[in-house]
Amino acid sequence: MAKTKETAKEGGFGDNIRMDGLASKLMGIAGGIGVVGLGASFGLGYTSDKSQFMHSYLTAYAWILSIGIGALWWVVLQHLVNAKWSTVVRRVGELLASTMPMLALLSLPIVIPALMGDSTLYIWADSQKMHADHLLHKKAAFLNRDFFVVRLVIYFVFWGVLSRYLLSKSVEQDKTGAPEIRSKLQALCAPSMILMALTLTFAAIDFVMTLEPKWYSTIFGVYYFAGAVVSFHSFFALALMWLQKNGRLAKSVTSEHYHDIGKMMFAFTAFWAYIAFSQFMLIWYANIPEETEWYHVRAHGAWGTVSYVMIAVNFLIPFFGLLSRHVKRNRAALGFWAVWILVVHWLDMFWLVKPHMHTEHLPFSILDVTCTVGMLGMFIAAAAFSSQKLNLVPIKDPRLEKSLAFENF
Amino acid sequence: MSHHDDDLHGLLAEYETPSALVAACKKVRDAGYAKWDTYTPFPVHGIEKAMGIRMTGLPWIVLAAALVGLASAVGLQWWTNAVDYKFISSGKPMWSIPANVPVYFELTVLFSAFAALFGMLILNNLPEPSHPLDHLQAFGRVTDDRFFLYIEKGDAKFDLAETQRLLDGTHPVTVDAVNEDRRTSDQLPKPLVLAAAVIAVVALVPFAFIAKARATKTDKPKIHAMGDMDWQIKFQAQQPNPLFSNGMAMRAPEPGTVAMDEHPDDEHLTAGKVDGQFVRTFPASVTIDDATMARGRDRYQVFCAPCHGVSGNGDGPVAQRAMTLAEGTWVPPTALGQDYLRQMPVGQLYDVVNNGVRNMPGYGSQIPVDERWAVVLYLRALQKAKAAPVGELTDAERAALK
Amino acid sequence: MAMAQSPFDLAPQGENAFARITHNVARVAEVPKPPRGWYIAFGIALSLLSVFGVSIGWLFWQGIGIFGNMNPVFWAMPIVNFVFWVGIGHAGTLISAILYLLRQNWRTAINRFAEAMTIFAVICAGIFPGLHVGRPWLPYWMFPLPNQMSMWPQFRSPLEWDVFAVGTYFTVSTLFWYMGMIPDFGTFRDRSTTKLRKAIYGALAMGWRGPSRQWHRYERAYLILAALATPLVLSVHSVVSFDFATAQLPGWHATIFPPYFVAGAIFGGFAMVVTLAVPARQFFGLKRIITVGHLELMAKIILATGMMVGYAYSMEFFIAWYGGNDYEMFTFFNRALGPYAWSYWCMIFCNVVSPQVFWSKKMRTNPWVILGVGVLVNIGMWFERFVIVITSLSRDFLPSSWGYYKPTFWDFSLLAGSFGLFFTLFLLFCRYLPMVAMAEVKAFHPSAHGHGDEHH
Repeated sequence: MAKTKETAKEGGFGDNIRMDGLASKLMGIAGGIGVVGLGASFGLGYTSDKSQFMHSYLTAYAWILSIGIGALWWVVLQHLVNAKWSTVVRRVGELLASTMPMLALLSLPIVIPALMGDSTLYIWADSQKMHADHLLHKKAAFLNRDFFVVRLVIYFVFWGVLSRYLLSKSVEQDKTGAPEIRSKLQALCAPSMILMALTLTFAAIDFVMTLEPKWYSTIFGVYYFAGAVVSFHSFFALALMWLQKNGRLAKSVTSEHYHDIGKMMFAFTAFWAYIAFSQFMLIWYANIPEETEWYHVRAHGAWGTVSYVMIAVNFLIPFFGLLSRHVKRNRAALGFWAVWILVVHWLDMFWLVKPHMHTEHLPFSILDVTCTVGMLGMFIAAAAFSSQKLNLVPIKDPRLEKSLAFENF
Repeated sequence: MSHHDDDLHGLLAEYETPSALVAACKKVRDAGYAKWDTYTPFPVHGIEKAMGIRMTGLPWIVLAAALVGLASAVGLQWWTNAVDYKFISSGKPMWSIPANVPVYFELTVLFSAFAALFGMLILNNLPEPSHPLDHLQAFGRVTDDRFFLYIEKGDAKFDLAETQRLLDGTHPVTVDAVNEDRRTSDQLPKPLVLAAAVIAVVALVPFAFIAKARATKTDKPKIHAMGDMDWQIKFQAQQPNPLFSNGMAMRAPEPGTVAMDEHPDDEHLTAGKVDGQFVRTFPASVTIDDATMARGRDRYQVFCAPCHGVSGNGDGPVAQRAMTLAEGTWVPPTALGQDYLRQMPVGQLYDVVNNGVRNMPGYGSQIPVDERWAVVLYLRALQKAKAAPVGELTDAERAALK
Repeated sequence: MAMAQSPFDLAPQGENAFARITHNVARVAEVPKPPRGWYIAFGIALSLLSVFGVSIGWLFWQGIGIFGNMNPVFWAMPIVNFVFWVGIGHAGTLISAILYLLRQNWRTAINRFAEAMTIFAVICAGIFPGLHVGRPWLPYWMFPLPNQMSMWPQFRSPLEWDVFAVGTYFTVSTLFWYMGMIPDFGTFRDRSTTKLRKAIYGALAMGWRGPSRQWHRYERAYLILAALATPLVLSVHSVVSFDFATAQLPGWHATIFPPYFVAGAIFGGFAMVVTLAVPARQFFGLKRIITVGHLELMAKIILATGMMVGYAYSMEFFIAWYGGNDYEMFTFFNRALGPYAWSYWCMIFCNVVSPQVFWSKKMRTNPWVILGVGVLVNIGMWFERFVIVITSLSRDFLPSSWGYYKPTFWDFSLLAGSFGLFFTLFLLFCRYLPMVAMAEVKAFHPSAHGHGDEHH
């Protein structure tokens, strides 16, 4: 540790913090998988069942979007609270957040059909159906194609500009070492956090909650947020492990950092359960028909089974799995739970989206796999694209020394 | 400091800074001592490693307590609400797991917290009223700003000269010999014991009262803690009230008032009479079918059976109880199978249900019109069953009777 | 810890920093006479406490008819006061537990008295449901005790969950508080000059002498308690919110209630902490321990949680419209423009508008501005509960059953009296117990590093 400290002071860095050839290699592989996965999805989707394709695509999209937004939220949070432990890993978070243009691009297969009045996913895309229903008619001021697109443009422009700006300022500090950048970004991140909360909430409402436009829940944004944070941290842990395996950051990132990431995974697993229980219990208890219907579908038959399984796999099992500090500090164990959480978070998205397609059975198909793998590939490729020519560590951040020497108690 | 060797309890070294103490710890640890400890005003970061302290088992105790707490919460709510004292609330199942989750959580945390604090105290052997170190004036600063290292004489490696040399080599402020504590008594102070005994006895008093209350009966009326809740300033039914011209608290309905289920035009239905004569037929609006019969049976068992008995013999539980009490004023309920009742027009039976007869109160205010007729219908069926000739029974019924 | 902006820069420094910390804190409880300000405050608190006593006495004598509760508002100020005090009681454990887990070491300056505040606030909170049920001799019905009637509590009722949640919270907070004080009681014992003090503080310290083998288990237990207390804090106000949110009443039934109540509780609790901290540091000369840096951090937390509360207000409004339910829409329209609009705008001004001054560094480093905002937020949080309880009940589904609730003198005297209880307990605590966690402050002091490189 002492040696690392000295070299950091000298201006060099006693660790491999450049992607170099690895970036283009990763871009090639991940991008290839992405193109093949999405191509296969489009091919299969348009030749067979459109509804299946649309719902599988939205499931995968809600999943990948939550990781991207989770990354941006995390970076904003680190600046806002002036976090010290995370400085050494913050650049990787910034790179994951810089995928916003790609995420905007990936939303097009959902947005364009809606814009063309296709109501396979969103019934509100069809204005005739909206006006035929008294209750939906009342919501037409919000639930219409034009406003939907306007909102999406606002979200993605905000996320894109913010993530780009945070990354570029951080990179600028690598060169100039200007310490005032820290306080500048902290000041910027306070109002940004408010906008993050609002955009994340409304994005969750727009993409997922309006699938069932008569159903509503004030906590829905928080629910999606909880899932986004827990899955981002899982993805983050895996990304760091992969980098270390490839010789990057091998010395700088220690068990202490994994321990903290693991704590966040653990805490937000519990937070997700708290939010999920609150939403369910309140609707179950009050038993108001327009709210209960949403859970009624998910509480019976095959979906009922999924719901019960989710109690175990999304909460009980990872909760006890991540309870011990040894697990959080052990790369293999933490990696296992990170993969686990990403899978069960995908199941959560499946559970949110798919009952809209079939209330009786589980419409699982090969499209779910191809869409998810395809988007994951594109997401990683986008992050790898941003990582070219950059340091993986903000080498002149004034907090770096503390982050490197950081120890949990 | 001079001392008798037998009196020695250990050697205490005093340091000014935590870093000096940590450095000393490493030396003592490496010298292989076992019965030693350091005393500090706050937890010194990194001293566990320097002393070689192993991780405590406390988390496991807490985990066990958490599971016990959870099991208690599940058991408590299941037993009390789903087994021992069942009743329906807001249409939820007796054993409503979603509604039980908050208490599951709270008791889990409660048990764990107790285990964390008391587990810590027990593992630390606290409370520890006295210690040989207490008699050293310098040691008073241990809770303020000084850092101490203490090696007990009981340690296998302890050797006065050798240990003294070791400690001197760690740059302490001073090294003191600590004597056995022969001043503090092993006995608890007498006033303390006495006070504890008194408290223990006093604590039993409430339980004694509860036990007495459970074992004895009293004729005294209950205590009215808040009189104006039990005797409210308001008029009750049948009381006089000078405010009204007829002097009664109860008010008659305005003339021409019609209750919602009354049909003033249909005397047959509402009074059981036509032109002042009791009718012998059921009103047209009452359908004679199994559903009406079942409803009549149900209402009969609620309203009539307590006195008249389930089979109409005049032997309901109220009648039986009155007979055992042998009160002279009791008029036994009528057995409903008697001939004169079998001949009575249905309109008159309806009238009795509606308005009562002799000691029997009217049930018109409790049973809606249609259901009064259903009761009459069921009454007819009871009467017929009681007097049914054997010839009218089917073979199966006859077999069942035998 | 020696960061440029660390609040510890203003903490006692020098060769014997530990002794100075001990002296600064212990002195408050050791001086023969507390400052005059303490006597004035204690006099006011005692008068209010006697108001509380008289009000409760009159309430028990007369019954709950002395409240303003009247059809259709049967849950009124007693419940508002209950939720208000429970909310205040959240910041203490939050500071002790969550900030501990988040390694926010600045908490050590304020955690002890925030914990004390928690406990006293929960005591005040617990009294109100007891008063409101109107049968003060039957509170044991709320507990699952074997009884002659073979009746058990109704565990499907959120009000029963409250009994367990608030009871557990009170117990665990007290354990946590006491455990934190054990080493400091040891300090008080060792500094005692009279036999009585030595005996009392000695008994409370249970023979704590600070051996490292005990510190090790102690720290582990503290960490476990903090980890337990964190979800517990969330659960308590969530359960309180369930009292409302499980109902079908417009304005009460919202799924966001649990996190929204928790954020509001932290918000109100921190406001109360600064309301107490600013005068306390002034009176007792603790400015070098509770620094402006600490106050600024708390101001930031007040701003952040105020924004969360604002988020919940806006989500409620949006979903009231989006849900398309006429009753729900009307309720929110009625809140903003109906007969209780004054309370609604008072709440918005105090909770959402007033913390905005903290965007300015100048404002959030001025103790008196912080105190002012703290008081406003306390008022606003009381009105938040008033708005939720009263506006929703006074105008629900049927216009024929609408009404207008007016509190009576006794409603207000009980509220004022509860402040008397709270401040009396708090002032006694300041006088007799270690007001700052000395051991913890020392442990995070720059010269506490055991690695041998003190001057890095």
